[in-house]
Amino acid sequence: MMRVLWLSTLRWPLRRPWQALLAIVGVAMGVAVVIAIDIANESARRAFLLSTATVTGLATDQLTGGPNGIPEDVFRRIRVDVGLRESAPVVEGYATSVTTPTHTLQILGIDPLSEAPFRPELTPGNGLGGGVAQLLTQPDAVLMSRGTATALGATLGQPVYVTIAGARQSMVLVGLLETNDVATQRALDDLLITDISVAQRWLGKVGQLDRIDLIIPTDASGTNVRTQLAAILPPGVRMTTPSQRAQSTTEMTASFEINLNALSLLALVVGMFLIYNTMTFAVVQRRPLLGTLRCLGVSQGEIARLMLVEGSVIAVLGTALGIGLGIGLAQLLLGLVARTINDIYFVVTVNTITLTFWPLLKGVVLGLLASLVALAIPTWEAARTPPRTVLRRSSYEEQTRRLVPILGWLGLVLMLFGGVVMWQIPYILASYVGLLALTLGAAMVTPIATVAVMALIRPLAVRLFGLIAGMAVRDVVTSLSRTAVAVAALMIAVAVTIAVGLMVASFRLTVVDWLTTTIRADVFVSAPAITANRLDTPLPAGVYEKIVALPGIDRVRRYRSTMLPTDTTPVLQIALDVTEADHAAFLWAEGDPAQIWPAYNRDAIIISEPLSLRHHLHVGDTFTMRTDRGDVAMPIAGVFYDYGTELGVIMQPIERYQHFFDDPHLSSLGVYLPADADSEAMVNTIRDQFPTTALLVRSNRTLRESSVAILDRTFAITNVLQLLATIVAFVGIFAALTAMQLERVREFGMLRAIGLDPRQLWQLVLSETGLMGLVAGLVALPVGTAMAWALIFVINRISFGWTLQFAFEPHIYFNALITAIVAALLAGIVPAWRIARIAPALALREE
Amino acid sequence: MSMIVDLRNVEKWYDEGSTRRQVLHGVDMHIQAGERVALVGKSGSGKSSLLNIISGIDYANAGDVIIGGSDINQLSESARTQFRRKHVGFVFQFFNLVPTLTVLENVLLPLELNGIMGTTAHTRAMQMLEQVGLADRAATAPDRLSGGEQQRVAVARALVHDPLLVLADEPTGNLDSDTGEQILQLLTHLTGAAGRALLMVTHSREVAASADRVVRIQAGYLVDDTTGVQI
Amino acid sequence: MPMKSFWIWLSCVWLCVACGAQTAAPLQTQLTLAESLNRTDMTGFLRADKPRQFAFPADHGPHDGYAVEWWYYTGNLRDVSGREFGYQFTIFRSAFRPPTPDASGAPQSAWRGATAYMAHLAVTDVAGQQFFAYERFDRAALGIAGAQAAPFKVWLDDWHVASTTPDAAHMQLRAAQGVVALDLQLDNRMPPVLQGNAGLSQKSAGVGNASYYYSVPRMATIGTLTIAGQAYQVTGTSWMDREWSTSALAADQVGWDWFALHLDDGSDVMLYHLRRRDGSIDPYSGGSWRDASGSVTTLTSADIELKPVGEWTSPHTGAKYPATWQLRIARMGLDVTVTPLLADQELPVTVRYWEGAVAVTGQRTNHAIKGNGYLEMTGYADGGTRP
Repeated sequence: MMRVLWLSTLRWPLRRPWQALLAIVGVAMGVAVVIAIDIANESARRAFLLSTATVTGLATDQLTGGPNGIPEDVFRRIRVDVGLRESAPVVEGYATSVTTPTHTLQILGIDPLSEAPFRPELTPGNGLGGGVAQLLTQPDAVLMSRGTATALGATLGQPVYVTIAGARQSMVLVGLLETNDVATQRALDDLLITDISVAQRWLGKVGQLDRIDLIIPTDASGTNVRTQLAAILPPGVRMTTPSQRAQSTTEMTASFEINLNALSLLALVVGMFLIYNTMTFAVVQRRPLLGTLRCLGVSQGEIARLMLVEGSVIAVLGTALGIGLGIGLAQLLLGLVARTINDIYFVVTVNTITLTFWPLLKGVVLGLLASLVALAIPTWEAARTPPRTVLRRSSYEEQTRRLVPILGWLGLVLMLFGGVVMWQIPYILASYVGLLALTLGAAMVTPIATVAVMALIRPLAVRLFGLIAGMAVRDVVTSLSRTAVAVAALMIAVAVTIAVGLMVASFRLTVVDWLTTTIRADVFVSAPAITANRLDTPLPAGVYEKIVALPGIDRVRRYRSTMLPTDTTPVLQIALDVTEADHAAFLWAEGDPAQIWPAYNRDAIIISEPLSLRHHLHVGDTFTMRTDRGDVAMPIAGVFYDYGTELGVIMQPIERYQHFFDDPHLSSLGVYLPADADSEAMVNTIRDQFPTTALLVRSNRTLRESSVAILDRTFAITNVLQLLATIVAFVGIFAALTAMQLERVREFGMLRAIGLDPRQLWQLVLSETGLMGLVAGLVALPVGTAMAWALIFVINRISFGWTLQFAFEPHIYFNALITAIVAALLAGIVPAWRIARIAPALALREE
Repeated sequence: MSMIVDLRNVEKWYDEGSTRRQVLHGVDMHIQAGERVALVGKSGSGKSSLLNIISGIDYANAGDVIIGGSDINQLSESARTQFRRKHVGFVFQFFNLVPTLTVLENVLLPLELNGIMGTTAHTRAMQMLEQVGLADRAATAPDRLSGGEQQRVAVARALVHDPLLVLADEPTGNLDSDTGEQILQLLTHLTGAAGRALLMVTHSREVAASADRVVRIQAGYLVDDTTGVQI
Repeated sequence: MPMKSFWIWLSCVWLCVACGAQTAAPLQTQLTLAESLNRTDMTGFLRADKPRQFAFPADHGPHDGYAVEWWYYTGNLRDVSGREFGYQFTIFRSAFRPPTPDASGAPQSAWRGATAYMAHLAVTDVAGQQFFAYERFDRAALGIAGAQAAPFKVWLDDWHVASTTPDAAHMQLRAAQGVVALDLQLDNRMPPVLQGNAGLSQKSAGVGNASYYYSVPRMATIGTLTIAGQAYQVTGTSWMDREWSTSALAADQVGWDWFALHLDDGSDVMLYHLRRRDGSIDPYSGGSWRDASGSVTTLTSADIELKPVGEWTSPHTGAKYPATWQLRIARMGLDVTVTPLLADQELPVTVRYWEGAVAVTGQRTNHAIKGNGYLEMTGYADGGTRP
């Protein structure tokens, strides 16, 4: 063990603690962003699966029905005719707490006497203890976890209030759900257990069950039971397994996760650059020391080992810190992820993150591997360079400059490769590879772009700002070995900013256009729902009749939207009235309107573009719909543009829907007024008609605004990620520039000695960093545009199936450029401040 | 007396693109044990290249570089490193002490590299520091020392592992003349005494004067190999 | 008199609620099922407070105005090779609230009923030394559990007893769970025995602390009994007990021992033995004797001399049961020993009790007499009764 030799390197970070710290922070930030996204996604998914598992219990199979659930008599037949005792009816729904902020609460209506084999943790005391008996005997009795009770301010035996479908509902807490298992305890949070009769009444589901849970043995008797069940089940009722059901629900968010992953991939790239930059710098800076050691007879292998050990220490500390940071960040992101899922997909109540193995492992592997890979290149280079050149830095710079054009060409090839891959291979993995290639290629082109830009700027700079400016320009080029990576990292971060900005803008532009085209009615009436942009809560009976009868109304369109199960993810079924006047509200991706409408009115359906892409369905194909009358194959007459849900939409005439489904309900109404009518006044008129009913009555403008608001909300997480990528890059460039400038203290001392005043040093340092920012910003403009193209036309299309218009927004470019320069300038402030303060003599002495 | 440095017809060139730049032309050089030699020449004359070849930091394109009886030009990079660690001591113009190590640790480093550790190493390093007059500064960080003191530490570091050959590259180049004089005395005293060879690359008259013999290099040719020649 | 576990079941629920209250002290106040059932207040329920006119088969059906009611079947069976079996099949009805008509007119959930059913199924395989017992709960909703008079049927899921003739002289009993299945035909040719005072059976002091109680002691039984896939063709005798009431037991009555015995001289004997907290026998204990000719004698506690002569300790609960009884009814000249056919016939259900097939041997007026029947012993296991 060469103690002294090890000390010579291991003491290095102690001499420059801030630099070591920045290196560690650099690694940490890279790791944090990546795992945070993963953990947030995973937590939301887990929370959903766990709560599903908790409310599913030990069921092996489940019966589910159509839009109106299962007729409850099916349950009697299962018990009395089939004799399957292990069967439990369930009525589910959601409530909102009246607390601030509000919680979404899941209502689980059960029959306590059927529960014991299924959900022991929900019905403690062998079926009837802990308040379960009161569920049977006391009106509006509920059980909930202690946490939920505290959150709602519920006291045993006292009424509490929640909102169900917009209406206030009182309930009485009669017992607490207790479990010793932490995970289950979490799943019990935000869960209200009530008797099935109460749930039916609260949720307007009298006579229907949402599902029937079954435990069917795996032996021969089970086969017999299945045969008997098949004989009694009405056509609309299907048998699935709980895992199938949960899976098809979680698959709904696949696209959303893919999109987030694409963004976290970009954060990862930025993070890797940061790590690479940090490590490269650590080596470059120590080349003189390494040279001395080589002269003293330290071998290449020993040098490599020294550097790797030191790098490992940084990597380990950085990774550990990164995982901690990532977990904290995940907690922040979780709210955004959960809100988006709730807005668009399904209800998930998740307040705390769940740590699982894979995201953490991913973080550890990324942090360590990326650090070591990043370290390996400069270490290998430093170790194998003959000692004579190690002693001189300029030789290294020369070498770097020789590499610059080669790197540039390679980068160009890589970018082309990425573009071709994305263009030609329509799979998400290929898109990721393509995007990564594009990004890395762009990073490799950055140094030559730096040289080129500086060559262009230099004469101008000298003429305008004098020799110091010229010096700054030249320094940027001569210190490429230290700055290139930092500039590339900043460039990528800024490019990501541009890409995400353009993507969001394109999205908004497209959706706003689409809303304008499709939202035609003057007033919309719907029932309040938990999932913000889904409208499957039925309108109370009689609303349609009452509104149609109002004076001053042209016509009323009826809509009934339900989630339609398929073999894979569910699709949104919208049954509606379409008259000739409404034809213009449809934009067709496929099909000829002249033929679509007659076919639609005859027996065909129309489907949305995402459904067409996801399920490979086109005009002329048929879609098999599971109806209460059995499976019905319906021809597809047209494919329309739709940006409401990537799950896909099917539209059919409402009369046909009511023929195939035992569902007389309506979800929403579109009220058309005469040309000069005041729609806001009509909103109030309609509201006045239903003083005691919870109804959402919105004018065209309000609906459009709230739709856009939801859209913006779903992009909140995107914006956070974008900001994070920028922060990561900022830390990177800050670390790199600070280190680089401080290392040149001697040179600055010399400049001070020959007469530069502190102000001029400030100018020099800030000009240099500003120029780097400028280069990063300039290169980021085309790169960001290319990435935006990839996100909008490749990744979005593959994952969501949407055709978007490209929104060219100059201000995004402008902001990005300013961001790059300002970030770089900010990063130059600390070194400039320190350098300007150092007395020239001291600076010269420092060696 | 044994021959420590025995260069025979050493050639060194660098290929720069299509052109070849010849740095050393058929250099023959011989240094006996106990001999102190100054290598003089203008900038770019090939002094440093020659020094690098003798130390095994660089290799010769042709010729034999026999140091202490072995032709190090035939050795692999790692063998040359091993050879250097054992048989060569270096004194640089800019001292090149390891900033993260104390004075004592800097002197301990070559011993450690040669596998000498523990009390033995400590005693020897302290003896060496005593010989350069810095035993009392053993625990000090190098950047707290004056230039002369730093170079004395460098001398101690170069000699502590008892090398065959001490190479000094402008050892006084960065020091005032008095201090330079002290360093020279130390160097010559400590090398000559133990039968080591000393090769000093220098511009300095004083340095050259302190040597037993001066070798001049001019445009890659060793033009002179006489004793006491004026620069 | 199978006052039975139903009360115990309710007591246990009450206990569980109380336990829950203790562990969850900060939030919970004392809220018991008894309060939520409002059982201390019997307002709205009918009471068994005077003799009534029984009518059959109408009275086989439910009496919804009373809080609790049960249909109790026990039987001793053997197959052609003489292998002995016993079975118990019981369906209980309990109303949480008196029936109230709903006047609101709003759509009402079919599940909102205030009546629950509980059923116990137990099978004893004497030769195999096996005992199986199962328990089910259901609410009276959607027809998953219920009772009706015409045609007579009482059921819980696919467990049921149903008459196949309009006079309910013939009944079919079907129940299966786990490894056991019963498919039995029960035939009765004699009028039911009205217990107590013409069917009004006083259980403790106070008007209304009684039940309406009748028995059909001797039902010829034939059918199939299946254990673990092995079907036995069995014949034998079953006993049906029917009882309904609103409140019956007094607070110091901690348990009871109930006997339903078929003697081989054609007599059918029912006895019950209410035990008080202090160990004494409650004077409201009693029974009945029907001889082969069909004439019925009501027995009071003074007529009955019951003495435990053995003890069996349950390995499951540690409860000590008086496993063997010496029974003397001097008035009838009876002196017999009642011995369980299998020691462990303790039911592992929500509230533990012992109920099983027994053999009777001894003398009646100096002639040897034999018989079989069922014995129920409650209040011996911990928490078995309300403190």
